[in-house]
Amino acid sequence: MSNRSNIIKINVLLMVTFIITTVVLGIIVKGVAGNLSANDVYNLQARTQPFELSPERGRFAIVQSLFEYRRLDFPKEVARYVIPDLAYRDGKFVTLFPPGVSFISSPLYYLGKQFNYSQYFSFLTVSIFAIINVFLIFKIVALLTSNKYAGILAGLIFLFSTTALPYAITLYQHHFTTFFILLSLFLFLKKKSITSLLLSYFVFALSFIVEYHAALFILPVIVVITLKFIDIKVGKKIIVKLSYSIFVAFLAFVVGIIPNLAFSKYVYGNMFQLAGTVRGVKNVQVLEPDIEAARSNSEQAVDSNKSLSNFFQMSNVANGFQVLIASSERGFVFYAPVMLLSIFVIFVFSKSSDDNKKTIRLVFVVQLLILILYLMWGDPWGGWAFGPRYLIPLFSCNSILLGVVLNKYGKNLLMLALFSVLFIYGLAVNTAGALTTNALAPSKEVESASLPKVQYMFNFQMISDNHSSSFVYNNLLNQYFDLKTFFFLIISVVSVLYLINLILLYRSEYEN
Amino acid sequence: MKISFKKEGLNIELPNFAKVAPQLEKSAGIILIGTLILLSLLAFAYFYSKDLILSYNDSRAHMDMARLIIDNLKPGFAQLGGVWLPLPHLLMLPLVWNDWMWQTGLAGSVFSMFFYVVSGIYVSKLLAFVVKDKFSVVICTLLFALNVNLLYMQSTPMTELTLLSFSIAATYYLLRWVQSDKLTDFLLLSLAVLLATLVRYDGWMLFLLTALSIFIIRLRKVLISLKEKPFFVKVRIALTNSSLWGILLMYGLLAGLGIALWVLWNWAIFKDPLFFLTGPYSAKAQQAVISGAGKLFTEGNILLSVSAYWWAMADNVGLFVFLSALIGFLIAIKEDKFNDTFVVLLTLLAPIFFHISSLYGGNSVLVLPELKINVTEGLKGTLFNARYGLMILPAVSVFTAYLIKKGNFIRWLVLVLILFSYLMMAKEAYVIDLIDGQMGSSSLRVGDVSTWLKENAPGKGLILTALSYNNALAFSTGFDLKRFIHEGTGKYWQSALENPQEYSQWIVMANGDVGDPVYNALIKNNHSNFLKYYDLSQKFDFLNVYKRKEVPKNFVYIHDEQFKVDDANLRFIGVNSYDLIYRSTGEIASTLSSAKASGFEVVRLWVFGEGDFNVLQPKPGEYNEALLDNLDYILATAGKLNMNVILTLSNYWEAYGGVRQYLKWVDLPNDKPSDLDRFFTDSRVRTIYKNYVNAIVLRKNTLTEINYRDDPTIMTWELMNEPRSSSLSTANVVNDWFSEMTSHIKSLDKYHIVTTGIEGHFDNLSINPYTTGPTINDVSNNVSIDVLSGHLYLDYFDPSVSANNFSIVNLWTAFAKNAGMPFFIEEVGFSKKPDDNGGIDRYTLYENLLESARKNNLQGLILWNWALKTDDSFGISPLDPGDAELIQLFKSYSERLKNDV
Repeated sequence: MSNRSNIIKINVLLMVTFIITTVVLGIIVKGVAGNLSANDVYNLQARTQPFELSPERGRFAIVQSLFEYRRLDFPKEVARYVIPDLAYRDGKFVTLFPPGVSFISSPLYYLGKQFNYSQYFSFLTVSIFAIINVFLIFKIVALLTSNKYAGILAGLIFLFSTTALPYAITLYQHHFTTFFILLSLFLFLKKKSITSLLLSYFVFALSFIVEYHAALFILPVIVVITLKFIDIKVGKKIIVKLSYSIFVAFLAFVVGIIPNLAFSKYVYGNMFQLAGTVRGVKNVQVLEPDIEAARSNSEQAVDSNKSLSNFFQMSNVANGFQVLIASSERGFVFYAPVMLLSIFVIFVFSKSSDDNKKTIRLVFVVQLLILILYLMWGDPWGGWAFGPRYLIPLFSCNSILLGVVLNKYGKNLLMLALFSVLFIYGLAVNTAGALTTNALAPSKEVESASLPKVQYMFNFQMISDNHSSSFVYNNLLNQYFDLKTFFFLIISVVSVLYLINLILLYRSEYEN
Repeated sequence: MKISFKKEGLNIELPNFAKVAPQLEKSAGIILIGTLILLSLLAFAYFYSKDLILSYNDSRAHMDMARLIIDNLKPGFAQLGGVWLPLPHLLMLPLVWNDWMWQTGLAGSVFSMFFYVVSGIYVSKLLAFVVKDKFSVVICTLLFALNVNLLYMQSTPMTELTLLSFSIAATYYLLRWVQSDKLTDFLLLSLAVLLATLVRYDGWMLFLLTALSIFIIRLRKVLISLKEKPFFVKVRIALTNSSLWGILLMYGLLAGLGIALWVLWNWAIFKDPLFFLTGPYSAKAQQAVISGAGKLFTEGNILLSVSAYWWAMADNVGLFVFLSALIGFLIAIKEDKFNDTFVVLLTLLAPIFFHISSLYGGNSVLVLPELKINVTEGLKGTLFNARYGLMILPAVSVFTAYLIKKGNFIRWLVLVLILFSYLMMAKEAYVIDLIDGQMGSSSLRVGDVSTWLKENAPGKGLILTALSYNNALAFSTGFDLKRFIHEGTGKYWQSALENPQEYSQWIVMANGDVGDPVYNALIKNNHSNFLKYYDLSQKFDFLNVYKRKEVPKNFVYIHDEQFKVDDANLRFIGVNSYDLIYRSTGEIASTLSSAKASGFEVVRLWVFGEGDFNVLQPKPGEYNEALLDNLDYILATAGKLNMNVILTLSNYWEAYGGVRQYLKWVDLPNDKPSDLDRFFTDSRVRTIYKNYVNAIVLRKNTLTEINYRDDPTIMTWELMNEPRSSSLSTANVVNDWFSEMTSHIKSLDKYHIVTTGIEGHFDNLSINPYTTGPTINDVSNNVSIDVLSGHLYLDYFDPSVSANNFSIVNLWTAFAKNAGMPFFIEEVGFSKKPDDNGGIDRYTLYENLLESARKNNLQGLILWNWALKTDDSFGISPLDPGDAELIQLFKSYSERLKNDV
């Protein structure tokens, strides 16, 4: 087959992959019809409903306050449903979350509002970023290996065979954090240019508004990008040449950080106040009706015990390791075992080019940073959640390494079979989660242990019981088939897509 | 530095320090020592300013151990004891005599700081010897020196740094000797190990491992020299090589000298060469309480033992540093291929072997939050002895160097991880060894106890407390060490545990069974009898403070088995005048004055009466004020006559209402004897009784203006006249009632004695035919009862022990003496008709009884009954001429009893 037809084939495949991915995400996004009032949101907190957990409520609240009440703090009716992620500061109820997710989802909220689907559209924002993340993984792997099939497969593995899927259809920050990390890695891989440098600093600054530690994960990438613009000569003297671009990049950083500082200034009265460090309001009573009571409750609005460093402790590592790696309720071994195959990158590493070695090391360092941080995190469970949601950015980096491994072992049938089995297992588990609920309590919180030991079995049970969170299924498709059929349909479509890519990967060497 | 703006960017010119590196290298030793001294001083200043130097209870104990040699009720070198190894305490001796150095902990910290510097120097030397790479040497020396747990421990008077320095020096000199074969290195190795064995028992494991290393290295050397010969021949020759065994023997003699001396010391002082291993204060004995509670989880559990020490190491050096060292260790295996250097470096792992085997054997306890176990309760029990993991730091430094020297990327990655770990640990809340000392089981927060003692126990009164608390209390109170009676005070300690009241004004002991020897002696083994002499002054979280009772002047109190007043013994003959309160004031005055004139010192009367309008308590909570005024008058009059009264607060029998009336008030059946048991158990009845007791005990005398509870005229409160259970099997209901009501009265009135009113039946039917309880045996086992009593009527007892010779008195007094309680007869009466007394006239009976009482050291007897009226049964009256001779008999015996005391 000629190169040209090969390129066309790949582009068609790429297009088909992204169309199918878009459709799949579009039909499983959580939601309900209508432009929701604050009261509606308050009443949609049951399991499988779009606001079953506080993170999505807290983030949606900012959007709703912004568009419906023209303010960044919360009116009382909104504050009511934000609890327990609610703070009180200077006479205002304010969020405990950085506002990035809310801001980014605002345009689609506004668009959806015109069609009477404000909630569904705002949640769809996350799906769009999830698809962009798949694309970025594809691009990065392709840049590293020149193997586009491996890139597509790596993207599919990330989105469908990890907990990225259940968090691609609801209003969480993980796909935005992932986007910033992947984008910065992509910029690192691009040829040295001022644009890349400026953009990377801008991205770095912008990431603060989504999640503070996203910036920490990006930091190593920013450092190595910056080093491209620093020339060091060691002789009798050491001469360090700093390109002026770095100073311009710093300006880009300042521009990027402004929205975050402005928000903190407006909401907390201090532009350097971190969102999570404000004292929370846990008691609904303070909302009723005596606002002064709430004021006195929050006299010391900054909680001294909630400094950022207190969230992370070395003594948590043992527990974090057990929970995030090996436990049946959150361990990635149970939710995304295909990730384990990245270990084979060790065998690829020594034979890689110097540039690729640098990239692999950088990806490894970013992963290590994410892992260390969340192992030290006081709540590795991520509260009520489905699987290890904090590791989604790590999975994206690991998928890049899986792409490298797939490129190397693309003709090894045993390896491909191993990949396929683990992919389909992860796909089934995470699709079950995506179609039903993320509201699974850490076992330490449920004395009665009403949940099964392997928590995703509960999601399978919900599939059998026909309890879906999907907006499209609940409003349209349920007339045609039950949830179990819908579940198998999605698995089948994605599996076929994956296998087509895998076959093409297997055959690609012969074709080339 | 020069900065210039060029077209292509900003140029910064810096001097190249690599050029001056050789010059710096020349001064490396001075820079290293200077840095270590500076770090040591800064760390000490920081922790000292935060008052954290003496957080560990053991740190105070170490200071005391040295101080007690010179400042003690029983000073001398024997105070070094037989459990903790002596070198650290001997080192402290020249400084610890100074109050300021002792109180601040500086007398011990100085040595920790010194040995910190020594350790740092030897780590650096060892690294230079092993890894050669200068960058790795610098980084890993800093890795050692900047460890925040190490910096904390070097600021305290603990012994970890002393051992570390000798251990590292031992490994260093072993390595040098292996390579140089010089005698000086061998001698220095032996000296380092000898000293290590006298610091902590971990040093003994070092002794074994160094000996094993020498054996392996020398054996291998011999085997290599015999390479031509068959393997088994080589082994046989090697194992009979005299040089090999000679060196080992010499090493054993030199390095093992400390161990031998310690065994000899134990033998000489404690008559048991293995006292340190098997004695009451050995590690094993100390863990016995935890083991007994089933919470010494590592005992016999190898996985948990390994896990415990794993997390101890990780928490002390930082998890990521620890993992780096682990990878470095694997690299060392790969690179060194078990060569001599590697074998020597294995001696750095001695703490692992020592602690895991100790944990597994139940000789040691180590708890960390990661283990999710709790040896006591609360946060405290989740952290204990975390510092054991610090001993692995030299090994971690050396093996991390193997990793760091591997290459640029790994070097910087590890560097970042080390930096990150150390930054994370550089916060007080994360310094595990500090937390353990502050909040874990290694801490002993006695601040509230010592504050209380400083305010309430100044002066010179001795304080009985076990060494484990004494160390903390001595420091935080600042009291003279000579005020404390503890295990190191020899005969004082032994005597005080038997009779604390003889020596100790104060007792500080655990408030539960946690192995405190004072608690064991006074509460577990002696049934709290000490409470006769002590009041619980204050309760704290885990300690109770008791104070020796200080009875006000003229009050009757109990000491040993005797009644006393103002330090003088009180033996008496008294009279019952049961209905005195129901008499007119004139009769009362005459009754009391005539009794006094007849030689009677004590009057027992009934302060009860229930149910009728003209008795003391017509209805529950309603009291007859006129009769209470009479009681005021009785007390005022008796007081003037210098007599004591025993006030009986209720009656088991029906006379004046009694138990039955109480039951009627709450509509409970009251016919059968078993019905009457309900009096002692029914909560409503108990409340009515308590309310009545409150009304009497808390009353203020309207004539004298003295509160009853402050009135020395009252000798005792008696709970009930002749209380009984319906059967022996239900005796406990009455006995429990005694406990409850005694405690209740003592909570209102802390000076007066409380008696039960029992008749003194034995549980031996051949002595007395009664099948009701509680017997005198039951009551003597009740820790809340202070006094035993008996009622003596001839038909109560078998004639063989009563009328014939009154050996019953001997039985009673012997029994009471054995129980450690005073005994008195509070009712005794013989009929005026000889026929009722088996043909014996009552004068003879009384004379025999009084003689028996005198001989048997009976504390008192109270006759039944004294009144201003004559009768033909049991009464004794000043108005009855027939009693005159008898009264003279009592008078003369009253004097004799007084004189006999």
